[in-house]
Parts: sequence; structure tokens; C-alpha cells
Amino acid sequence: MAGTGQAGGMSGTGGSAPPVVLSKGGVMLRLLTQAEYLTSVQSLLGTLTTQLVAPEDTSVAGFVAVGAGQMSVTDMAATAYETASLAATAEVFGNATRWHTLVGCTPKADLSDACVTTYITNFGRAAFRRNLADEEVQQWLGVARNAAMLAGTAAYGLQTATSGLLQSPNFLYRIETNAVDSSNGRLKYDGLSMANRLSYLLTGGPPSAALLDAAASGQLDTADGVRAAAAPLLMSAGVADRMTAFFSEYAQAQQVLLVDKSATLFPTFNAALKSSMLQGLQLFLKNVVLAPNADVRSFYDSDQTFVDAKLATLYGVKAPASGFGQVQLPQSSGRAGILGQAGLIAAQSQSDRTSPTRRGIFILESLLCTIPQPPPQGVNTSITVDPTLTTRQQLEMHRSNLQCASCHALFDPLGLALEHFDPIGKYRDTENGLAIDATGSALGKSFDGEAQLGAVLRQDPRVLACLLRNFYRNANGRAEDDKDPDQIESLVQSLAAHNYVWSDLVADFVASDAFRSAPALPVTGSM
Amino acid sequence: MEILKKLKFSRRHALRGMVSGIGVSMALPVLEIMCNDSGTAFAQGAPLPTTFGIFFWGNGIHPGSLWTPTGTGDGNAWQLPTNLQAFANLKDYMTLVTGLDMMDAQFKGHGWGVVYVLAGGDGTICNITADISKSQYGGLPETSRGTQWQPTIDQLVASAIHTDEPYKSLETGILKYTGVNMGTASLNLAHIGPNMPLPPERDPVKLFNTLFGMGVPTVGVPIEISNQLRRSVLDAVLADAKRLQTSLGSVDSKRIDAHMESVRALEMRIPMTTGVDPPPMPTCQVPTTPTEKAANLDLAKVTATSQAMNKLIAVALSCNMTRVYSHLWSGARDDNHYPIIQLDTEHHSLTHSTNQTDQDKAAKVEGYIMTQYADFAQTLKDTPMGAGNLLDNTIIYGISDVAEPQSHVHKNYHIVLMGHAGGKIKGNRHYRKTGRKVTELMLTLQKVMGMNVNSFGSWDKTSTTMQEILA
Repeated sequence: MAGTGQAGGMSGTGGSAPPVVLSKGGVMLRLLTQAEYLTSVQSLLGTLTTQLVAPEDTSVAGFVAVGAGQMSVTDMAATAYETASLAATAEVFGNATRWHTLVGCTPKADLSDACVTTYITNFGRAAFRRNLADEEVQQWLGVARNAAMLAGTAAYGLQTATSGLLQSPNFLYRIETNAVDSSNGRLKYDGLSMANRLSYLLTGGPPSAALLDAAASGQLDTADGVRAAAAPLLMSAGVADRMTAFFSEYAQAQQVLLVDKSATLFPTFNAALKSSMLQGLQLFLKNVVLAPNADVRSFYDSDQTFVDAKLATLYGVKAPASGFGQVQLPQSSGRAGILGQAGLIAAQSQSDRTSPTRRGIFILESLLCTIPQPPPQGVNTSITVDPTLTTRQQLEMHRSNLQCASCHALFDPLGLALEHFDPIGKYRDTENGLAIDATGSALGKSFDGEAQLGAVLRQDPRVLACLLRNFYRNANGRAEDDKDPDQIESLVQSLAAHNYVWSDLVADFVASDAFRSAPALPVTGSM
Repeated sequence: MEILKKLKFSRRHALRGMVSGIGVSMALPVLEIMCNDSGTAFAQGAPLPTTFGIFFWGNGIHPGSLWTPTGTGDGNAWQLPTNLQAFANLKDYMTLVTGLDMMDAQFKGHGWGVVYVLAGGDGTICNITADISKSQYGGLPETSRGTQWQPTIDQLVASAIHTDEPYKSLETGILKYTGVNMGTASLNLAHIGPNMPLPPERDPVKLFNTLFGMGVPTVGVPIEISNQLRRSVLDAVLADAKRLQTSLGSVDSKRIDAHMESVRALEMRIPMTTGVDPPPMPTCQVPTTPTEKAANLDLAKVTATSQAMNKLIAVALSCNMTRVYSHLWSGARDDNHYPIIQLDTEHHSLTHSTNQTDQDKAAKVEGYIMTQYADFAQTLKDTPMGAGNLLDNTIIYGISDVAEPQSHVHKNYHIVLMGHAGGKIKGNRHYRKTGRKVTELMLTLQKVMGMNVNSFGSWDKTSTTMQEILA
């Protein structure tokens, strides 16, 4: 949320137009997402057997990372954080070996010695992802000593302070600071902010002590320094999972777990199948789209996918001997890329019928970054339902109404290309006894069916620009991607220059202005 | 027992029941003995606490014989329409308000409707539907950036009437929205600001644990010490928050305000165990742990889940754990289907069909949802408070995002109010007036709750009170 800091730097257009006041940066809060919270706690305390429950995320503009920059900590969330931190610290401090390892020294029973000061300073630095001020060290030292005195044990004192540090807003929020960079007018993030941004983007967890040291040394103030600091992180195995998580959220993959289908029509659609669909989709992302040196555009049109026995039946391909395996989809399957994933189709369908409109709106908003205008006034939103017709024929009756046609023309052709896939993503040739017609045109190209639509999407520069806008949005935790078009364009060029290898784009991105700074936007509500 | 005069929570009232042999936070019910002779007020004259609730469902209603009584007025002058038959034993408590519009009653859509009926608009003054396009948020409600740009009415009421009940408000729900991405507005009812929802709890077991469980392990130290240390930690957390706040701009500063309010609420719920605590008192009836799952895990058992949630909300109210509650049956434009009544087609899809069979099915869904609203009201009626019951002392705003759903023109909203609001609303009344605005009713409800407000809303901003619903 750059732009919420103090205003400054006028750039007026003269005349009677009100002067535009641009943000000069400030301090922004990004609440840890559920996944970041759980990773951070375990990064600090070690692997826990206690199942921690973190508060629900809020998705804004398609990403929980954006919601995390805007949502507030509700009463229920504060309660959940307390419960989780008490449970986690009880597990660690209930075991002498574990807490001695964590603390690194043996304190006196009343915590009056330097051991506890060292612990609070070090653990606090790891938890707050910055050095603590003296005042802060003293405060948490006071909490620890008071607890040791009342409970009568050093362990309980340390446990109490530790649980407190994990409830502090300094832990729960990623705190980012930026200020005007006079060289280009953008709002540049300081070194500590960069350490946090790099670490959470590439590993999902807090920065290491070495990365914090790099920030303190000034290394992260330059593009080259950031690139060097990012290099080891980019090599880590976790990056693939983080990028898989991005593409998965982009495709709204988790949604399949929430939907239900008509038990009469789709008796096989149960929790196990839903889980297979999600897993198959994620394996496709990680091992096909994001495979080393893979062309990321395979996201749209790859003929490779992952199946287990359940998905193999659904897709009509040979099942692997056990578990999941990679298979090639025959051309006759009409299935390719992300839009051919049963998990995505099932999530974007209704319980007992397909929904070209819903599927089309998903493609339009998510893959093409186009938001259709709201339906015009006085429009008739009724849809003819006639079981003797195909869904396409029924929709065409609706579109014969000129008022409806203008918008439906934007998304229906996209959705209708998927009509060969029923509500759980199984291929079909007919509907209600009539042949499916999955032809259409969009983006200036004609296609017949999902695989051909995928090939069209792959070739269209607007589609890639939209992908990069979403990546920018997710990585920066801001929905202002449309206010930074030059940066998005340079990301498109970078991706092309790297032969569309996603990991190379990420390496460029983290050292670019698109990640190291934010655009200085007009301050809302300013005169 | 001076402290019981006003039935307000304080730390020392936090009640202690038993869970796993450890102390549990509990509150005290309002007992007749604490009231005046007629049971309508506390013995010292203060009124019993009035509570405010919302029952929201997605996709509107079918006006006509299913929903619109032919008669208007009080008592026998009107009869319950078909889809409200489940309220047969509760008609005395119903105030049915029909015929209201949003602005000039044009088509807009679910996303705009939910902004209107819960928050009175998005903050931009609009008098006709076409004005919405002038708002910077006007195009967003049915996109992934949809939210409530203004606080929802439940949160306005909660901010005005909350004193020291353990929860400023309680958010619950049944069906989880799974349709086209509509941002935060369909998944959540209550919002304190844009993209600041209060997510509803849809899992009865989790709700039970929140309200009646401890959830906090205490090993090796007495509960009194553990509670004292929890408070000391939260005080330090608040000090950290205050220090952090000084560096923030106004938007993030408000987020920290909300965060600190949450931490303070949590701290207030930690039992204060000192020598001056009152002796153990009769406590509210803690229910047994429910076994029902969140509805979306098994739609075929949604009735059982709904009834379990209804009971838990009633207990929370009877224990004075909150004075404001909102129940999100289903979100605006809900896409769930209803195997519980043998319907395989999604609710939203049914409503737009031109096929009469589908319209009949959509109406059947509405009738089913009303059975669950009625079950909720009946559960409140069955729960004593003073000489009466919870339903006597509450008012529930029963509302949907759109009016007639097939064309979703925002015309002829039907609003099902339940409860007597401590005597301020008589009930057993059908008030029908075409062309009046939902915001007038929303303003009136705020006044019923004792709020000192003179106008409300941005879409249909109004200062007109709907006197006709009052006793």
C-alpha cells in the first residue's frame, strides 16, 4: 500500500486543476498470510508436532498477499494467534533439550543473568526480522523475569516471553519502509524491507541472520547487491514451491476443494477425487510449467499432465503403476494446459451443468486482466433453460438480446471453448444428445475446443502481460499493478529475453525496480 | 450483588465452567430473580439488554403469493405467505416489511445489492442507480476486488452499544460462497472497513471451542498464574503496537487501532482470579460439544449443522457474551445447491432460468432457508431471559442481496424482521409501502438500538424514520 504515507512532492499541471500530491513513501504493514505465519513460527521454533491454527486469509484482487496488506486483525484472529503461540511454546519449553537448544545457554532460575538478555536479543531479531531497540529488549526481559518469578521456573519465564514475541505486531506484520529515490522518483524500499521481501517471496519464511546482516551492511540498497543476495535463495528447493503456490493461486486451484456436485449426476466426485484434482494440477505446475528450463507458456497449452488412477480414468489415459505420474495427453483428448485441468474446470462449473459464462469470466478476468462492464440498466438477466438444447444454444438465445450480447460476446466464446468438458472435467462429445460445438473466436483468432484456445492464449502478448501483472501484484502485495505499466512491460521483455524460463524472470524481477521500489502515486484525499 | 445490576461483563464475571477439569470462561444468564416484578427490566430499573442480529441469505425472494401477504396491518389483518409458513408459531414476533426499493429500482446486481442492504452504499452519494458509475468503486462489486467500502450496519450498531460484553460482535455462517470471485463481500457479512471483513465461523465445533472452550494449554503452573501471565504478555503486545503505530500513515494506523481493540477484547476475557471474585453463581447452560461439521463438507446434512449453530448463537446471547450477531446463511449470488431438499441445480442458476420448474425450485430453496431462519428465531424464543425470552429482547434484520432474483431489479425488497426489540417493535405486522427505501428501515433499526443517528446511507441517504414498524 504505497501511497499511504505522508504526502509531499507536488507536481501540478498548472492552471485551475488541483495540484497532484504524490506519496513520498512511508511504512506499510503486510500481515503474515496463513502460510507465512506457520512457516515463520516453525522457522523460529523448529518443526512442531502441535497443529497450529492460523487466522483465515482474505483474498483481494485474487491474492491473499494483497489482502494481507489491507485486512485487520480481528478479535477471533488475535485469539487464534494467542492460542497458537501458547501451544507452540508449550511444546518447545516442555522439553528441556529442545528449549536449551533454542536458547543456547542455561539461565539462572530467576533469569537475572546475561543468558536471557542474549536470547531475547537474538530470538527477537529473528522474530521481528530486525534488531530490537533497547526499550523493546527491556520490555520482553521484564515479561520473562516476571513470569519466571511467578511460575518459579526459568523455562516458564522464557516460554512466556517467547509466546509474547510471537504475538507482537512486529512479528505478525511484515513491515516495509520506502522513500523517494531522487534518481528516478520512485519509492525505494530500504535494506531491511528488501531482506524481508526477498525472503518471503522466495522461501515463504523470514530472512536468515546472514540476509539481515546483508541489509545492515547496505548490500541490499543496490540492484547488484540484491541480485547477489537473492542468488542462494533462488537456488533453494523452496523457490519451486513458492512459484507453484503463485500459479496455483492464480488458477484458483484450491477452490475445487470447496465445491460440490450433483450426487446423482457425478457420484464419483468426492473428497478423494477433489484432492487428486488439486494435487494433479499442482504437479503439472511444478513439474511441467516450472520445470528447469521449461517454457512457462506451457501453462496454457502443454500436452503433458500428471494423473493418478482416478484422474487417469477421468482423462481416459493409462494410469501410472502407483501414485501420480506424468503422461502425455493424446491430441484426440482435446485437453491441454491449465484450462484442461479437471480441478480448474470443476471449480469453474456448476453442480449439475457447465457454465460457459462462469468459465469465460474466469478466463477474461484472470488470464486476460479484463473486467467486463457491469450489465447495463434495464437488462433482462433471465436465461432460457431448455433441456432439449445444448448449453451453447441456450446461451445464444440469451445473447440474441442486444443488451446482453455486448458483454457476453467478451466472455462466452472463451467459456464455450471448454464445452467438451462436463462439470467435473470429463471429456464429452454430446450434450442432451446433441453434438457439442466448441468453436469460436477471440483475440483475433479462431479455435475449436480448449486445446486450440490454449494455443491462442500462449501466443498472445496480452495474455503474458496479464500473467506478469498478476505476478507483480502477488509479489508486491498491492493491487496497483495497473499504475506501473512500464515495469510490467519490462517484465514481459525480460521473460521473452530469457526464452520464457520463469526462474530466470524471477531472478531479474527481484533485482528490478518493479520489486525494489513502488511507483509514487497520488495521495488519495489530497488537495 | 451490585455487580449484577446491569449484566455487563467484566473480567471478574468471566464465568468459570468446567472443561477438561480446567477453568472455562463463562458468563451469567439474566435470571428472573435479578429483574423487576414483571421481568421486563432489571430490578433497579435498567432495561434488559437488547440485542441486534442479521440473518442474511443470497439470491432474493419470489414476490407474489409465495412471499407477499395480501393483507397489511396488525394481527389477523394479514396472514403468513407460503414461503414464511415455517414461522407459524412465531407470527407474533414477525414484522414483515415489503415493497422497498434501492434508489430508482433499476437492475444492478447481487454485488451492488449486498453493498446497499448491509452498508447503505459504498460511501459515494447516489440518488439514482446510474449515479453508481460515478463512484470510484462503482464497477468493482462483482469482481475479485469487491468488498464493503463502508462498515456494515451490524458493526455500526456494535460500535455504538458495546460496553464490556466479551465479544463486540459474533459472526457465524452456514454455506461458504464458492462462485465467481466477488472479493470479500460474498464470503463475509460483517466488515469494519474495505477489505476488513470479520469472517463468519461456519464450523459448529470451532464456534463452540471459541465460546466455551479454553483452547489454551496450561502445563505446570496454576491457572491463576497462567492467566496473569497471559495478561502481562498482551499488555506488552499492546505496548509494541502503540510504538509501531507512531510510524504509520493513517490507513495502517487504523488497522493497528483495530488490532489493539482485538487484543484488548481478548485480554478482557481472561478470567481475573483474585480474592474478591464473586462466589460461584448459577451459570448459563453450556451445551455439549456439537458433532456437526461445517455445511460445505456435507451439504446433505446442512439442516443439522444449521440447528447446531442456531443453538450456539442462542447460548452466546443468553450468556450475554455479545449484543450483536450476524448469521450469513449464504452469500450474495450464492452458487451452492441443496441436496437436503433434493435439488441438484445451484441456487443462483435456478433463479435466472426462464423455466417455470426452475423458478419453482428456486422458490423452494427460499422456503427451505426460511425454515432455518424460523428455527433460529424459535431457538431464541425457547431461551428464557428475565420473564420473557431472547426473542423478546432482540431484533433480527432478515435480508437478502437482491429483491426479485430473476431480473434482479432492486425493486420490492421483502425484509423479515423478527423480535420485539425489548418492546420497541410490536410484531405481528405486515407493513407494505412501495417505493420507500431500505436505508429508511436501516436508519430506524439503528434508532431502535438506541443510537443517536439522524441520517444514514450513501445510496439513498436518508433522514426519514420508518415509524410504521415501531410499537
